Amino acid sequence: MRKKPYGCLTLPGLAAGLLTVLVVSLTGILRGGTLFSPGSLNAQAGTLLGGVTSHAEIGGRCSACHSFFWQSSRMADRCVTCHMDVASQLNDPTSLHGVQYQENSNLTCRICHPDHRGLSASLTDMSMVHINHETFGYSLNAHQQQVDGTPFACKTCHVAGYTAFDQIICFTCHQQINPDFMFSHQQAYGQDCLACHDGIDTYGSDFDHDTTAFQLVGKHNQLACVDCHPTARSIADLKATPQDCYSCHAGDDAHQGEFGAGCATCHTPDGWLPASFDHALTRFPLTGAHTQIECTQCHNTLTFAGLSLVCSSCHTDPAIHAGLFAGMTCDQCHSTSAWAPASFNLNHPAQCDDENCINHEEASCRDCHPDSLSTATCLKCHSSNNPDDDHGDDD
Amino acid sequence: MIGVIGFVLMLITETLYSLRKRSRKGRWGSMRAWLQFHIFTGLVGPYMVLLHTSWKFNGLAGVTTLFTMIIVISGFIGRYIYTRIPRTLDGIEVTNITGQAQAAVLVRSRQMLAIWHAIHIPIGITLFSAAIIHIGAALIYATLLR
Repeated sequence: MRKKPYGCLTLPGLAAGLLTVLVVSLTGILRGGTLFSPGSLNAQAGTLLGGVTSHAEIGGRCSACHSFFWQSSRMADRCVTCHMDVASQLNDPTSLHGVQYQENSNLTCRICHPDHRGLSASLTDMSMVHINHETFGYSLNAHQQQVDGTPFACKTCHVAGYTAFDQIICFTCHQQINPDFMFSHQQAYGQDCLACHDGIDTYGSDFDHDTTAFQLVGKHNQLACVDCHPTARSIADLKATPQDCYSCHAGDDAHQGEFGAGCATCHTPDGWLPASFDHALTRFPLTGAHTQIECTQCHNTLTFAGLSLVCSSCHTDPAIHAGLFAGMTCDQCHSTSAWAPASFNLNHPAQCDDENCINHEEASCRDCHPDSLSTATCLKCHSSNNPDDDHGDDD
Repeated sequence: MIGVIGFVLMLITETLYSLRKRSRKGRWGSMRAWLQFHIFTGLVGPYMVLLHTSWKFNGLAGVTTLFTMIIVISGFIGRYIYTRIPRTLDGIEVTNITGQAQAAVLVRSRQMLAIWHAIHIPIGITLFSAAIIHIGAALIYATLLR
């Protein structure tokens, strides 16, 4: 019995194998490497580089991009043969290519820029590479999900390309979150969002003003940012906002600058009133009835410093004095507690030397001088103004 | 990776099945079991290859996929011709057939199986040749790409 050939090594089998190799070889010779192409090269026309405007135009010339493993040059080397602008960007730390390359020098062009994906497929696919977005001065910490809960894609913000960003996109999305705030915020601060916002909410919704050197208490808590930072247009501007009261409240000064800029000596952020001015620190400590009156009763012209300490600067000589005390000061007879009783300690012109008469010492001024000290009446106690009439009989 | 596993399944089952069929010394496993294994791997392997294509059939890779599908269909056909021939439990043909009609059917079936075999094997060789060149190209242009 003739021994059967091993397995596939039949004549038709061998012929089929040989034919396949021949057909593949011939096709390879006639049509180049397209036989091994996994898909069409991109046909989107761009700038004329290396004699072509699209990758599709170099289809079939595999070695234009592909380097065999025994060759020294790599595919990336061949990319920059045409894309010379990218070659220079790799050394520029401010460019997207430069940042990526310097963070990971093993990163090759094709990781982000695959081809053979069809005539019109995108030549950039960042899904295979991690972008440390903070490198570009903007963290994506607060931009993980959109308003509707869907995750952010690169193109959500970078509509016109990965290296371009139009800040109107900030406004477009954020006005959906809080339209009123966004409108007023933009009116106040303009459209350069990135000047203050860095994506980690340094000055975003979670910003805690108490972490700064100027903690917000009292009525300061109710203010909008723009009330204190009206001209700020950058983080540096915000940090440079003066912290003294007078920088903001100069226009509110009821004292017209007389007390200087130290508002906090008397006032707190809870309100201008009540103010806690300690009058004892002045040349005129308040005592007696002076402690019960409003500031404006003395400072009626809202002049607070340099007022005269003389009583008569506020108190006019009353009619009852009848001008008898010209040249004297009030405090020679009166205290700040009250006008009466007064301690008149001068020699009284009308002396009663009757040893039995003691009531005159207990009488008040007005008992005898109800209207004026220049006139006297005895009638409050006596039946006659004549001391000789029934003197001593009344008691 | 899934394509590699699929290819290895197809290749191994083909070579082992052929070896077993022609082996006269070591009777390792029954022919029936080997055929069932060949059918199993001949279905699972191509399925994995089909997944590997990600539904793109360009160039030589597309041709290889086409031959993979043809060989599967051919296998189905062969399997039904095969069942027309009486066999022992071990899968060996029964030779002492009696009856004219039965004998005629058997002869026709054997002829059909021989024709099918003459076609199935070259298709398989074509497929494996194309697949090996495809693998070589993938190694050069993609896997070993620098």
